[in-house]
Amino acid sequence: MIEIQGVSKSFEEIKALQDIHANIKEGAIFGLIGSNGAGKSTLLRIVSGILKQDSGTVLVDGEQVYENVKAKENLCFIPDTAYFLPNATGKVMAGQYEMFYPKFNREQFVKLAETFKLDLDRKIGTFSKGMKKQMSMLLGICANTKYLLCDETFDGLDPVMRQAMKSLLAMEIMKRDFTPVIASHNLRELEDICDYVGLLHKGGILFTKDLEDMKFNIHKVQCVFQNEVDEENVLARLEVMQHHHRGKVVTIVARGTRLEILDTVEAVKPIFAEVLPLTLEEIFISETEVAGYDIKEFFD
Amino acid sequence: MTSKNSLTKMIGDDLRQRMWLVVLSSLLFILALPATAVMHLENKLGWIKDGIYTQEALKEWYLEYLTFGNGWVMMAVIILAIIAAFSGFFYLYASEKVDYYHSMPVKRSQLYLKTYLSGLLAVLIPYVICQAAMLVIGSIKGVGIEAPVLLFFKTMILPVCYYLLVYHFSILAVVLTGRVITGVFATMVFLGYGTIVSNIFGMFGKIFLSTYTRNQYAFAHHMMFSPVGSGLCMSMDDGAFYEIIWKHMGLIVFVIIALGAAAFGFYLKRPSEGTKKALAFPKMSEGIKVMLSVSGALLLSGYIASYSEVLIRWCVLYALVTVVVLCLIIEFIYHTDMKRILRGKIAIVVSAVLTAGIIIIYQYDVFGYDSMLPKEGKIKSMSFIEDSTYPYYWEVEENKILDMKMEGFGAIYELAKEGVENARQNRGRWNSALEATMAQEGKTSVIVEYAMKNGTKKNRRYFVEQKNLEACMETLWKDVNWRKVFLGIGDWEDDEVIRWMHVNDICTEYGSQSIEFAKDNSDYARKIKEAYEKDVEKSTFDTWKNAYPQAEMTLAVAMPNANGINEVIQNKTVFIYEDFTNTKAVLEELGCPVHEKIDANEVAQLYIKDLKREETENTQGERSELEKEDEWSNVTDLDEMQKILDALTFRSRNIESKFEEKQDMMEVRIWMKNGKQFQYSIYGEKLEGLRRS
Repeated sequence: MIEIQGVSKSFEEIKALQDIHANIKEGAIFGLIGSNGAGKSTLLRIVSGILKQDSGTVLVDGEQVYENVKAKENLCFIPDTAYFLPNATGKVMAGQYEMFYPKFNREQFVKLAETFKLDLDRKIGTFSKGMKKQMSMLLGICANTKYLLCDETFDGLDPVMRQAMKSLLAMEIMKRDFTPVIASHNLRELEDICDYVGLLHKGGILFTKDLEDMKFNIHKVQCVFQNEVDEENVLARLEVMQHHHRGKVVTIVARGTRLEILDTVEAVKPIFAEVLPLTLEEIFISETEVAGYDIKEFFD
Repeated sequence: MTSKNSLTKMIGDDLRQRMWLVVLSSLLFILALPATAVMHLENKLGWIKDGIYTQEALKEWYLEYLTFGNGWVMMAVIILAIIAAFSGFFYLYASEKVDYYHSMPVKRSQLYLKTYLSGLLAVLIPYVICQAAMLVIGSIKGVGIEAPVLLFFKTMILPVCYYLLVYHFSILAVVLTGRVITGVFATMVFLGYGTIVSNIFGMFGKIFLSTYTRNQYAFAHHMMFSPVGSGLCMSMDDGAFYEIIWKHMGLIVFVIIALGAAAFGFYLKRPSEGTKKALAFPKMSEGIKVMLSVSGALLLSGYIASYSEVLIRWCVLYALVTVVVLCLIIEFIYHTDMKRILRGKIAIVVSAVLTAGIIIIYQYDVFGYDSMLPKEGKIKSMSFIEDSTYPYYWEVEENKILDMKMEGFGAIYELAKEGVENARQNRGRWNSALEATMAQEGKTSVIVEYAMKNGTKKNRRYFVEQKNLEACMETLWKDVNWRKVFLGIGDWEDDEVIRWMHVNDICTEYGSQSIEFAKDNSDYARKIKEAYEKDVEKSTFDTWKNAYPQAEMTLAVAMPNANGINEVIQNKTVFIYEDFTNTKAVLEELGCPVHEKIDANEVAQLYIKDLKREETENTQGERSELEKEDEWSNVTDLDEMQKILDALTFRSRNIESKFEEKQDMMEVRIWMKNGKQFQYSIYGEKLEGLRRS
C-alpha cells in the first residue's frame, strides 16, 4: 500500500499540495483525477521519489520513498513526456531499464512490442507521440514493479490503443501483484478502468472512493408522477443528491441501493419509472455539488 | 547485483553514451602530445646532428613538453574539464531528464559518482595513454629520459590536478544553476571572480589612497585568485613544470578536495524542481545578487572615477545608482519577469550599503592605510626607491633596488615619517591632482618597502621633500653594497662572459664605440669591470647628485640558451661619471675614450631653435601658458658656438627629466665634420647667456 500522510509541497509562493492524505490499496487501479494545476503530477513525483515533500510522509509498503532504493524498486514512474536516451532504440532503452530494475522482463517486452507493432530496432526519436507513449508504457509494465505511476499516459493514444493499454493493465493485475496509479483530467478515460478514484483540487484531496461503491450507492431514476404530492413524498423519503424536471419527467439522483430507490418510487405508483446508468462524470458532479463545489471549476 | 557492480555497469553505460567525449579527448591529446612531439623531435634531432643543439637541451625540452610547458596540453585540459562537467550533468537542466534519472531506483550519490567517474575516465584514459606514448617515443628516439616510470607519474600530476580543479568548478556551476546560460555564466564567474575582486581593491587603492602603490607582482597576485592562474602560479614558482613545489601542491589538492565535496554535497541536496530556474537553490539568490551587484558596481564606478577628480567626489552616488540597476537586472535574469524585478528589496539595501560602505572606507581611509607607520621595533629591514624624477633609474630595474633591504633603516624611516605626515596633510586631495600639486611644491614620490619581523611586507608610496630624499640617499650611499645595486652593478658576477661593450657619450652614436671580445673572457673585459667597480666604490653621493653622467657603457653578457648551444645576450648598462677615472683610463686604453666636451673646431654646422613659455591673460582674466617657438637659426660665430657646445652634456641628448618639462628650452642641431649629426636640448638656467633674444 502507498500511504500518503499530510503531504504538502510548495514551489516558492505556489502551494502545489496542501496536507494530502490518501491510501492507495494494492491490487486495484487507482485513478487520480484533477484539473490542470491541481497537483497530480507533483503528487506522483513525490510518490516516485523525484521530489521531496516539504512536510508529511510517503510510505510505500511501510518504507519512506525519498532516496530509498529498496522502496523505489517497487515503483516505476511514467511521466506525461517520457525521456528516451539520445538516438536510443527500444532495445537500448530496455537495456537501461534492465540496469536499474532488476526484475525487468525482456522477453515480455519483446513480445509486447511485437503485439503493439513497435519496431525495437528503430530510433525512438522517429516515433510519433502516440508510439512514444506506448513505448514508455511497455517499458513501465515490463519493469515488473509493484506500482506503476502513470501521469496522463493515455493522452495522445487513439481509442483502440487506449483500450489495448487498459486491457494490458487489467491482465497484469490478474497475473501478479500489480497496482497502477493513473493520473488524468479525463474522467471518461478512467471510468472503465479505475477501481478507486481520488479527486485532487487546488492541492488538496477532496475524496478517495471505491468507484463501484460510488456507483452502487448512487442511482439515477427517471419518472413521471401522477401528481405533485406523490413527487414530494418520494423526494422526502429518498436521500436526494439532485433532481430536475423536464416537463412532467422528473430525473432524481439519490443515494441508496437500486432496490431501495425503486421500491420507494414504485410505492406511489408512478405513471413511469426507470433506473438509468450513471456516468462517472455524473457521479462526480453529484458528489462535488454535495461538497459545495461548482463542477465547472474542476474540468475542462 | 551488488551496488559496486551496478556502479561499474552504469559507468560503462555512461561512457558508451559519451563516447564522443572519449573520441574528442583522444583527438586533442594525440594532437597536443605525440603527434606534435614527433614533428618537433625530428627537427631537434636534426639540429643535434648539425651541432646547434645539445642532448641535454633536448631532454629538458621534452620534459617540459610532457606537461604545461606544452600550452596545448593546458588548453586541452581546461576545455575538456568544462565539456565533461557540462555534458555529464547537463540533464539537470531538463525536467524530463530529471524525472527519468531521479525516478530510477538508484541513490543520488551513485548517480553522481557514475557521471563524475565517467567524466574523469573519458578524459584521463586518453591522456594517460598519450603520456605513455610520449615516453615510449622519447625512449625510441633516444631523448635519454631517466627513470621513465617515475617521470610518467611526475609529469602527470600538474595536468591531472588542473583538470580536477576546473572539472569541480564546472560541476559546481551546473549543480547550482537551473539553466544553461546561468550555468555558463556561473562557470565564468568561478573562473574569474576572485581576480576581478582583487583588481577592484587595487583600483580603489590607486584612486583614493595617496600612499597606495602597485605591487610589482600584482599581476601574479591577481591571478592567484583565479583557478586558471593559481594552479600555474603556485606550482611553478620559478621552477620547471615537471618539478612540483610540493608545499604549494598541498594547497591545490586541498582546494580540489573542498570543491569536489561542495559539488557532491550540493548535488545531493539539489531540489529536482530547480530545473529551468536561474538558480537551483533559491535561497542563494539574494546572496549571489549581492556578490555580483556589489562587485559590478565597484568595478564600473571605479573605472569612471579614475577619469577625473570631480567624478571621484561623486563616486558613491553613481555607484549606488549602478548597484540598484544591477540588482534589478539580476532579478530579471532570475525570473525573466519585469513585474518581479523589485523583489528582494533586502538584497538591494544590503548591496547598496556594502557598496557605499566600501567606497566610504576608501574615500575617507577609515582603516588608516595612508597613516600607517609601523613601530620601528616591528620592522626587520626597509628599502626604498625614488618613484619618478631622476632619469638614471630607468637603467636599473626598480625591484632590484627595492629588494635591497637595509637593516640600518633609520634614514628611510625618517623619510617614511615625513611621507606619512604629508599624506595626512593632503587627505582629501585625490591622486590624480595630488601628483601635480606635489610636483609644484617640489616634492617627489618614493616607494618604501617595510620587511616586518613577522615575515610580511608592506609597500607605501610617499611624497617627500627632495632635500630629505637626498639626505636619505646620502646616508645609504655609505653602504657600498647599496651603492653598487643603485648604480647598476649589484648583479655583476665574476664569471660572467662579456661578448661586447658599447660606449655612448656626448658625441658618439650607439654602437660607434664598440668593442667585441673574443669567445674566451678577455683580460680587458675583466679590467673594465674591475675598474668600474673601483670607481663605484670610491664614488660619492655628491658626484652622482650634482654631476650629469658623461657617458653610458653597455656590457653584453652572454647567457646560455635553452638549446644549450646558442647564447642569449643580456645587456647591462651603467653610467660613467666625471670622477670615474679608472673606467675612463681603461676605455682610453681600448681606444674608446669618453668625450666630455665637443670642440667647436670639429663642428661643421650648428643650428639652434628657442622654445619659450609665456603666461598670457585673455579678456576674461583667464591665465594660460603659451609656447612660442622660433625658427631654426644658424650659429656661425665660433665663440658663440663654443659657448653653446660648453653648455651641452651627455644628458642634453634628450634624457628627459620631469622637472624640465615645463621649462624654456633650446634645441641644438650639430653636423660634425666627420659627417655625424646630433640633436640636443638645453633647459632652464643653462640657457642663461645663450639666447640671442
